This record gives sequence, structure tokens and C-alpha cells, in this order.
Amino acid sequence: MAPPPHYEDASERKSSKIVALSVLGVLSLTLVGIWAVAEANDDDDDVTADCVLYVEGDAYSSTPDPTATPSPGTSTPPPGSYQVVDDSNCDDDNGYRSYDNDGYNSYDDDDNNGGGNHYSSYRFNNYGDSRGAYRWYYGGTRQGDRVSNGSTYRPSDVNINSRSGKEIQRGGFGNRSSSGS
Amino acid sequence: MRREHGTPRDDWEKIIEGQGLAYHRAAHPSGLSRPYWDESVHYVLSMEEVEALEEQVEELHRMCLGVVEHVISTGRFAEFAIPEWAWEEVARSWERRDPHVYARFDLRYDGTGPAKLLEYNADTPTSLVESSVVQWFWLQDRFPGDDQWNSVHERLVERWRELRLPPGPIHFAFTNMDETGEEAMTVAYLQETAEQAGLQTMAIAMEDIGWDALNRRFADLGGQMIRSAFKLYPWEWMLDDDFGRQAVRHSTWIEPLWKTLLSNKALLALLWELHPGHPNLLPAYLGDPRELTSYIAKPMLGREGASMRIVTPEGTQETPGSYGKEGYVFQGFEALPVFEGQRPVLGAWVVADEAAGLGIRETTGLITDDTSSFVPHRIAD
Repeated sequence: MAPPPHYEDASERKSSKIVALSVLGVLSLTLVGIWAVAEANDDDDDVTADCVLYVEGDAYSSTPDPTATPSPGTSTPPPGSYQVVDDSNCDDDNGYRSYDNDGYNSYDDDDNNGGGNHYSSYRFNNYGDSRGAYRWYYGGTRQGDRVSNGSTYRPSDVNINSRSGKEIQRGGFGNRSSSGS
Repeated sequence: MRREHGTPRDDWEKIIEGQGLAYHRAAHPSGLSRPYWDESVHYVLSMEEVEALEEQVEELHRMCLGVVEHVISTGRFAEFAIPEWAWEEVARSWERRDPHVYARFDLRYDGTGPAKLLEYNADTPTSLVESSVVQWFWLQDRFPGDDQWNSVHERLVERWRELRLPPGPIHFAFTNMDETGEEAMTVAYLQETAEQAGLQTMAIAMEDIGWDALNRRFADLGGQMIRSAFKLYPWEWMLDDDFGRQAVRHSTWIEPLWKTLLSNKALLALLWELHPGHPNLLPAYLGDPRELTSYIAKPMLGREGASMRIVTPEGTQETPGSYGKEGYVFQGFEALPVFEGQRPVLGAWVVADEAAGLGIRETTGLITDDTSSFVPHRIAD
């Protein structure tokens, strides 16, 4: 569609100088429900996460995980180890029950991924709170039902998968009628 | 402001469909004698009227932002029926000044006095394509060289250009449940304006947005992280949805969470409380109509003119609908003015924080609902 001519007094006008409509192709494509699906970002490093339960004074462990005691004001935990449990124990459905250690810096993991600007004060992940609770353990090495040499800190700029793969829940938005106003 | 008549362009239906108004039949109830897009009439406003309206719109917008600041500083979230768990996140969205793009004031205006605010559609405004695009091309065809209060398109492009968004594509989310195509076209049009601003974009249905619990991020169908998304899906529904608690803390959403305070009719009562007697406001109250003898009861979270009740000494009139469980706002009732038997309501567009254009819808009834028709306008003396 040819753009309209420019006018000499355009700076005084209240209307757009030009309305380019390459939009039409996009509109049509969208209306028939076709959209491009971008290739997954393959630049990320993959890190495996295990859902674990911290077990105190466990024979499997000779040294505590140094990253498991970041909270100021709490004592160094006794030696222990991380027992791998079913992933479903670590599912965080409500966004508030979280024992990820990235809560210590009071910033949400979006920032770790370089993408967001949200922060949180809801998390209270000192060691005492998380002891005995299920949590994710990143980049560990499995030996039997124990995992070590990893971290309970959520690593940044990586793609995290559980041993059973990555499950993305869908359908949490929508299923309503007209939403414009 | 006056109403004039003209001959519709030959093949006007094909023309407007080619300009994005594919939904002009589907979004309009069947059996009406008038099409949704009606170019057999148009309104003419003077430049003085437009410039005065621009000033009033921008003042109203500033006042609305003042209400947001007031609600957050005083913690009056409950009066907006916002769930308590989201209060702090609404406040943070405002404190961060999460980016906003556009909105539409609905105004009562008869060409003689100040415009009166009816409501502010600041979260999910539609009738955008007909305002920004279709009436602009109508003007070029019918009154080449004339002017129109409508720089919406170029202001949208400029707004996208100046936003500081996270890296990666911005996703544009529509709903699969929209059977008319109006929302899909509105979203696609906004997506096009973002692309013209140089942004990388991707379309997705709200229903297809995924939550990656392990990585704690939203994901599209390809598994790619959704860092930012435009959604034509109201915040009050998002907060009520299964992903609501994640949405308030993850991804950058446009329009932002703080706009849930503006798209709520409780805004009208707070505006009147903070600016009593302001010439651009009608008296409005929460809870009960107080001294008002003629008023309209608006559901706080109603849409498209549904579930409203007009009460006057002469009688009561209601529109059907299922909204209102959150409560009502009672606003002083002034009937829309009549121009040749039709009642126009002015939809004044705001892009970023500036007045950007006008779209006019007409109805024969007192409430502008989905039976209304869109008519173009131009500026002339």
C-alpha cells in the first residue's frame, strides 16, 4: 500500500505522517493462528538439578557443602549429605514456597538470567529454614541416592534440567472469553 | 464538534478488512441495522477543540498516576479488590516504573464544555486498529490534506523504540478464546508497531505460555524464556489464574502490573476523592451512591458496558452481564450527548504519557457496548 504524501506543514499536524502497513502480513498470519516458534536458545550451558533432602551427620558425607551455609547469623551445619528424592517434592507451584538459595541476595532469578527486573523479599532461605526441607541441588554428581560436588545456589545463565528432563507446565493462563475493553 | 454525512467508499468493506479490521462483522452482534465501521457519517472537530481535549486528557492521565501513587503510599489496595498476596508486587511494579505503552480514556463530550471521564481502559484497550489505522486511511481517501487527531501509530512505534526491555524477543500474547479475531488483530498490530521500532517479536497464545518451574521462568512453545511480553489479557484475570503468583514476579509484562489500579473502576472514586469538583470528573463513590440521585453503578472489574445499572428519578435501566462480584462504583450519571439521534463517546488515546489520538463510537442507547459503531473524524474549522 503506497504511503500517503508528506505535507509541508507536517510538524503542525495532529495525524501520523505515515502509517506503514507491512502489518497486514503479520495480521493475516496471526489471525489464522500461525506463528513462528523460535529455536530454543542453544547458547545456554546445561546443568542438571536433583531434588534433594539434606541429611545431617550422614555417613556418606565427610565435608559439608560450603555453599549450603550462606545465611548470616547461622552456624556452620554439621557434616551431612544430600539425599536425592523425587522431583515432585521440589515443585514450586505457588511461587512463594521456595528454598532456592538465590533468595539470599533478595533478587529474583530473573536477574541471574539477565532478563528481568524483579526482586523479592518473600524468600527466607537461611540454613535453619531449609534444613529438613526439599530443595534443588545443581550440577551435582550422583552416587547411589546421594549427590555431591554441586551447589544449592541456582547458577545463572544456564539451562537447568532435572534428571527426568524439563517439564514445562502450560494452561495456567487463559480459557476465558473476550478480554479487550 | 459536529456530525457530517458522506458517501462510503466503494468496496469499503474490502478496504477496511485489508487494513486490519477483519473482525468488523464478527465483533458486532448480528441483526443490527448499522455496521460496526460506519463511514457514512463522521465527526468534525476544530483544532481548538482538539488542543483543549489534549490538555484535558494529559491532565487526567497525570491525575490517574497520582491515584496510583496515593493507593500505594497509603496501602488502599483492598478498595480495588486486589488479592492481598499481590499488594506488595503491585507496589514494586510502580516503584520500578515497569514500562507502559498505551491506554484509552472514554470521555463524555458534547463540544461545549469540558470532557467528562467515564472510565480509563489502561490495561487492555481495544478499538485500536480502527482508530490508529483504518480511520487514518479513510482520511487520506476522503479528505486528502485534512488533518485528524491521530498520531497513534507513529507514537506507538516511538514508544517501543524508547522502552528499555530485557534482551531477547518480546512476546505478544493473544487469547485462543477470542472468536471474533479482534484481540488477535489488536495484538498483531501492536506487534507490528514494535517490529517497526526494531524489536524482535514473537506471537504466542496466553494459553500456550508455559511455566518452567525448575528454571523459574516463563517459556514459549519452543522452550525459549519469555523475558518480556505484551498481553491483551487483564491483570485481574492473570492474578486469578494458576500462573498469577508467578506472573507478578517473573517476566516484564506490558501493560505492567501497576496498571491494574487504573483499569479498575475504583479509580473513578479515588479521583473524585482526591480532586473533588474537578471539571473533567463526575462524582463517584465506592460502596453506595451517597447524595447522587442520578447515577450509574459500574462493576469495579466490568468490561464492554456489561452489568451496569443506570438509576435516575425517571427509572432504572440495566445491561446484562455477570460482573460485579468485587463490588460497584457509583458514578454521577450524565447522559451521553445526542447528535442526530446517536450518542458518541470519545475514546482518547494515550501513548506513553501523552495524548495521541481519538476514536469515536456511537450508540443509540445510554451505554456504549458491543452494539456501538465506530465512526471516523477529521479536524476542520
